[in-house]
Parts: sequence; structure tokens; C-alpha cells
Amino acid sequence: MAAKKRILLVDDEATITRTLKLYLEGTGAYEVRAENRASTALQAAREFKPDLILLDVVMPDMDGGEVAAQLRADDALKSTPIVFLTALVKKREVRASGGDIGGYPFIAKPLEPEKVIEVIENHIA
Amino acid sequence: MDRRAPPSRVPYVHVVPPRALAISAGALAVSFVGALVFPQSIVEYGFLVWLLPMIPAFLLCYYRGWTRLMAMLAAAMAVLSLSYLVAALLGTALPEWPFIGFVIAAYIGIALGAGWFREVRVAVDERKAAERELRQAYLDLRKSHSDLQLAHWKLIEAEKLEAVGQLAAGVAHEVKNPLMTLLTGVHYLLQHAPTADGNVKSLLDDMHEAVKRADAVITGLLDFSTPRELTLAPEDLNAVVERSAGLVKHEVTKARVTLDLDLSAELPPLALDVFKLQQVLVNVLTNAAHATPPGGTITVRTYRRAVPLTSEVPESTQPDRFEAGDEVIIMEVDDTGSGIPEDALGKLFDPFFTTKPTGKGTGLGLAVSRQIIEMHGASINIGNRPEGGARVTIAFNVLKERA
Repeated sequence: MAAKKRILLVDDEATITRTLKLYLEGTGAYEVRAENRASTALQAAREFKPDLILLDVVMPDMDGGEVAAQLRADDALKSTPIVFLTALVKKREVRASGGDIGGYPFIAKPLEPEKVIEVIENHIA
Repeated sequence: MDRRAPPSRVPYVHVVPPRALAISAGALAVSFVGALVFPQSIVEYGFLVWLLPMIPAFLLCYYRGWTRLMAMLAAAMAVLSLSYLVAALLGTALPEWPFIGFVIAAYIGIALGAGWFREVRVAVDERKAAERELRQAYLDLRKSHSDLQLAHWKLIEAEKLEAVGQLAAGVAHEVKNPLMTLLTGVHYLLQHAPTADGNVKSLLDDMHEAVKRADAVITGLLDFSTPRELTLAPEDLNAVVERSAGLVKHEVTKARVTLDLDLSAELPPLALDVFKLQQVLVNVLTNAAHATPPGGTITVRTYRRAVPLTSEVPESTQPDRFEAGDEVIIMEVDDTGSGIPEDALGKLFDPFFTTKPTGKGTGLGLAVSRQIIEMHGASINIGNRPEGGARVTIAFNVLKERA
């Protein structure tokens, strides 16, 4: 059996991280670590070494864009794919929120979990 | 001449009485002095018999404002007094003198009076013209006032919309996160919950639908309230119609209605945001499909024409958008449904107004559509056709296009 793909899920909404973790792990194909604070995401990524990071944009302690910049600055994580999760509707609004996520793919919430998997599979190494 | 400038002449109605008073007073004075100088003569006779009795008649005219008669009496008194004086000076006592004098005086009085009257009439005409100008100015003012009120109302609406936009953006973020949780949870339960109870699955399906509907409402609200920009490029309107028709094919087939396209081949390219316009058309066509009973027909027509003097196109929206003689491209969507109830016609573009059953429409489709159409500098109008069914008319201005 192929090794499970490791997904780091960073979102300040605990209900989202819990249900999405349950769903993704329920498929048997993923191992998910959930983080509810942006400030601890970098440390978690260093420990967990994910294959892909799902990252919320608007979080109270730090912006998703800043987290992405920190991840990119880390040699071990700079090539890990990042997909943003956002409740903001349009790209323009996402950019206007201050997070520079222009270069990254993103998932607009709410999205059918099957489609979340599709996006993950499209971007995972 | 500036319509609002005061009339250049002072009306003569105010000049006649003083002038006539002065002349008649002078005539009386002359006659009275004549009577004193030539007692028992014809001048005394004329003063007592003719001039004095004229005083009450003169005063009556003065108080009633009969300026023409006043002028005549004054002239008659002047001529009478002078003719009696001359007769007295000549030492004559001809009984014809009073009569001849009176006749001459009457003629001269009439001539003079008519002259003054003409002046009076001119003055009255001028006053009437001034009144007409004043009335016109009042109408202009009233129109300006209503325009101002309309602008004010639009400003308030815009401010309200901005407030709604800010609120909607905040609400969207707060609502979309829990919706994501619900959606993921429902999907998880659909895959992992025990399936022995058939109700569980149908309940979860309903919950799934409810989440999608809530998401549609919140997305529609955001669409409606957030300021958008159009990406305009010269496009073929007919191609947009055809693509939109393709997008609603499923809805149209499901409703068992026929969709006819009657597109003019003579249309110039228009400055359009294809995707936004497609959104409008899909909305209008879906509404038509929902309103048309099975077996009915939806017709989309495009053609070019000049706005007639009394245009039926912009009557309900943006009356300032088109002027008579403008070249417009019309797109009409007709259906063979039951039409729109009279009381609903005025509210069709109001946010959250819908005639569809609960849960079938967000009530935002036409509100968003109108915004998109207005951003194109075009107008949208919905009414009932005399032969039955509804007609949506969208008019693009050829001259004002920003290609």
C-alpha cells in the first residue's frame, strides 16, 4: 500500500480543521495534521514535513500570506506546495486582504470535499 | 432674451389713472375759472351742466379700474372746458355749442382713450407674456427639483448599497466558514454513517442542498453589493446570446419549452463584458424558462433601431440614458408564460424580491443583472406583452459604446 500523503491544514476555525481532517483521513489516502494558529504553523510544518499545505488566508494572529512567505524562506519547506483556503470570494478581494497569494492556487470555501481532494491531487508533488 | 428677466416696460395700467386725473382736474380748473370770469355765460353753463356731473362718473371709473373710460372722460372734459371757454371768449351764446363741443370732445376722447387703451393692452400682453415665462420658469424649477430629489434618492440608495456591501463582505466570511464545516461534515456522514435508516441519507441530502442554497444566497449578495469592474472589449452580441442559450439548454429542456433565436446579422460590435453579460442572459433566460408552461416558446431577438421620439425603451429605468434619434441595439427576450402581475412590475429589480417559490430563487438575479446592464451604459426594462407573456428589453447605445 502506498504511503499516505501528509497534509498540513492551517485554519483558525477548529470546526473546519476537525471535519476536513476527518474527511481526508476517512479516505485512507491522507495523514492530516491540523493547526489552528498561524503562528505555530511554521514549527508544525518543520516537524510534520507535509507533502502539501492547506492554508487559510484570514487568521487573527497572522495573515496566511505571511505564513506562506515564512514557509518559502525555509530551505526544507520552500518547495512544499501551498494551497490557500479562503472564504473571500474573489481573487481581487483576496489580494486586497493584504495577503500576497497571487501566485498560489486557492480553494474558495465552501467547497465540496471531493473537489478539495481534486485540488490537492492536482498540486501535490 | 433671458426668460427669467423682468419685462422691460412698466405696464401702462399704472400710468393712465394719474394722467387722466391730472387732465380732468385741469379741465375742471379751467372751466371753473372761466365760469368766474364770465358769469352767466355759456362757460358757466358748461361747467355746471356738463363738467361737474362728470366727476362722479370719473371717480366711479377710477375706483373700478376702467382705465379706458377714464381716459375718454378726461379727454372729453378737457375739450369741453376749452370749447366753452373759447365760446365765452368769442361772446357767443349758441345753444349748439354744448352739443357740438360734446360731440367733438367725445370723438377726441374716444380717439385718445383708444390710444391709451392700446398702450394698456400692450401692457397687459406683456404682463401675460411675463406670466407665461414665470409659469415656464416655475415648471422648469419644479422639474429641477424633482431631478434633484431623484439624484438625492439615488445617492441614498448608493450609500445604502455601500453599507450593505461592507456588511455582506463581513457576513460572507463569517458564514462561508461554518458552511464549509457543514458541507464537509455532511459528505463525511454520507460516506460513513450507518445506512440502514433510509431517512438518514435523505436528511443528509437535504442538508447538503440547504448548504448549497445558503452559499448561493451569500454569493449573490456579495455579487450584488461589491463594486465590480467590467472588462469591456468589442464583442458580437449575437455570439453572447448563442453561448448563453447553450448554457441554459438544460433548464429549457427540463421545462419542455422551445428556445428560438431571431438574431439580426447587421449588428455592429458592442463594448461588452462577455462573462458579465452572459450572467445577465442566463438569469433572464432561466427566469423565462421557469415562467413558461410546457409547450411554450422563449424568443430572443436582436435588432438595431433609432430611439423614437416617445421611446418605450427606457421608460422604467434610466430615462436619461437615451435620447430620441440615438441608434440603439435592442435585445428582447419574450416568453409565452402568464406575464408578470401588475403589483410585482415595480419591484422586479429590488434585491431579495422574488415571485418564485421559497427556496427556488435568491431574489438577487435581476438586481445584479440591472447593475451589470447599467455598468454597460445600457438599460433593462421588463413588461408584459399585449399578446400575453413577459418581455425583457435590453437596449445598448451604439453611440455611447466605449469600444
